[in-house]
Amino acid sequence: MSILIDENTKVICQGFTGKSATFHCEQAIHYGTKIIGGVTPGKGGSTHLGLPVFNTVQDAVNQLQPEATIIYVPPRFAADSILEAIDASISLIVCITEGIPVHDMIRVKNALNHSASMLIGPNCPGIITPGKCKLGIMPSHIHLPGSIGIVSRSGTLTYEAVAQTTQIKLGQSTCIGIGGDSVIGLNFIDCVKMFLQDPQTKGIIIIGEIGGIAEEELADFIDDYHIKKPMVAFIAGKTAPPGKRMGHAGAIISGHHSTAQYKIDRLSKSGIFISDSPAQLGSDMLKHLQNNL
Amino acid sequence: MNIHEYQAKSVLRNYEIQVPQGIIINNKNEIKEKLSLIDYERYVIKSQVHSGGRGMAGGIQFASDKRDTQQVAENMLGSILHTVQSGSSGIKINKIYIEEKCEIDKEYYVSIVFHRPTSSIVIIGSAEGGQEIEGIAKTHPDKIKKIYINHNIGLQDFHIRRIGFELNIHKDYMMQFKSVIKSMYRCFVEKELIQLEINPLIQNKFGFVALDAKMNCDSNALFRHSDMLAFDEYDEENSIEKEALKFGLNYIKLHGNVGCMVNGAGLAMATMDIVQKYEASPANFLDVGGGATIEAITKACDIIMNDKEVKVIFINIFGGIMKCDIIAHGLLKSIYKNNAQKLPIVARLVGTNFNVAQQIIQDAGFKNIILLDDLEVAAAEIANQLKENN
Repeated sequence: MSILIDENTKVICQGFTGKSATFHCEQAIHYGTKIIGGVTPGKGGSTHLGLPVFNTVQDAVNQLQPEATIIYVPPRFAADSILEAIDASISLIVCITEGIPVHDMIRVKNALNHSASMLIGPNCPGIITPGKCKLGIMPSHIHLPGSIGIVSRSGTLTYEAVAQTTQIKLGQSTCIGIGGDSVIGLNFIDCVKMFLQDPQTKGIIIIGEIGGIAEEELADFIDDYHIKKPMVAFIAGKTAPPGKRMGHAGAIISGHHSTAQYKIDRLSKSGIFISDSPAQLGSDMLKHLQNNL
Repeated sequence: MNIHEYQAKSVLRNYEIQVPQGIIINNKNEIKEKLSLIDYERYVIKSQVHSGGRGMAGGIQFASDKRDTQQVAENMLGSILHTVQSGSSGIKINKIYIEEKCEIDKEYYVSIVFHRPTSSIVIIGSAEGGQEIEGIAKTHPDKIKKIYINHNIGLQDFHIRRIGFELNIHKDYMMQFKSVIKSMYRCFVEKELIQLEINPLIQNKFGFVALDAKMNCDSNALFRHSDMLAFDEYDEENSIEKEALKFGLNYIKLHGNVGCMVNGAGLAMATMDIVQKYEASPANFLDVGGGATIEAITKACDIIMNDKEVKVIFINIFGGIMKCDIIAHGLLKSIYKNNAQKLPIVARLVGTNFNVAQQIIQDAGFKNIILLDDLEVAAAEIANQLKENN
């Protein structure tokens, strides 16, 4: 497969009839994503983009049995949308929204822990398995079906890695934006574990940044995991000053653990190659794949 | 968003947590008049700045009568405070808070913090109040007690009992202590704080008093807390940053010779990093986001062009939602506006409409704009331009 989504994944969209959702769903459908309906409270019974609209997620699930949902809902209401999707037992929830309050996300995280749902995001570009399924806002034309798994806390910085791996014809198995917030769903460990278990993925690119300890936790996980694959990482924010929120809510240095250099040193120790430039991720990945043969 | 001590104390008052009596003074003209409204036994004069370590830097002083207080206040207001956190330029003291000095029998440290690794809320306490908590964490970590709370379950009595016993609160004061912790937790949840720190929480014969208070609010939640939002202030240091925010631009001023403009926070940080790799220094962080208008891009360019330290501009755009021709139009408008035809600008534009953007820029005919599509080559060119212009 690749991971999490493929050409058969059935998807609904929450916030379906909104401007952002309409634009991105049209693009996704054009790409081949199996969007089968959507939810906008109050518009149940109508159609949008030729697909059925429902008042609630449960209604959509009862009728369509989707495997995934993509949420394009403003920050004020986004956590509620995620909770509604969890309550309706949707397996994969992708939330693009930036600006969801932390206390809302703490509640969401608790609900996730007691459910069978997985969340990607929030504050992320989404997830794409090139050539098969696109759940998010990434520019599809830069992607190429292939063998590199990419997991990233950033949006446009991910596109750099994608463009480079496309250019050298390695392509991508699946690209996941886990998002720039402090409270998120799937983390580096979750995604890397899936990539390590996926036969199509031959190498993994990790894009991290200052703030939190996700990169350090990944290093601990890799040390003990029985499957190894070539991994290349870039950690943004070497020049970031402490205490300042650098765009992403989760990109803030508080204590020496959360600096870029600390993360770089820790990941290096676990055998992950650190690119010293965001422009070299593709070439570094190729080099390490060749070394591995 | 951090708020000042006096603001945090006003919030704590609403949660029935005792704070010393005090008055805020915003400028030198107010000192005499406001002092005439109060009559304390002893006075504490406290600078209101967003930095720890005020006391050690002389930002907290004492006086025993109004005349001395007035003198201290006049000297403090408008002066520059150099704390360990403030950097070499220090922080200007724009407000001072004059408080009644309290009797202190015991000093405790209590804070409630959002704990990122576990997505939970943690209550941190120590019987070593009144000192730098980071120092205690290094030398005596066993003196710091932590209790993790599941947000969905909330603060329970057994949590509060535990922290009371861990801090050796005297049984005569246990009930009052529990009340303080309950109130702190309620405040933390209701105001959606990221951090609430009282150091020290002092105990005297009247009970517990918050001698200092630090509150950090979740910026993403401010839309539903207009009272907390009202505490936000413009000052000289952040006026450009706040102005930029009105246009949807995320701007942080640093000190350097390369002005950067990028779409996406991660890419913006990476751009700053690659500038440093080529031995130049980024003058700022600037993320224009995905949906910027021509007007916003013009504003962004205006800001970096008007930074006197900037010698070269680096525009790095990977257009997805963001269209490169919008960037081109905004850039040209700004060059005309600011007469910046001599300022070297390295523009790396790829993605949506990059060829339209390139045509627009070429047609304008400015010799100072260098168009490149490789990020590494563009960064190397920045270094070149700096050398040439020196």
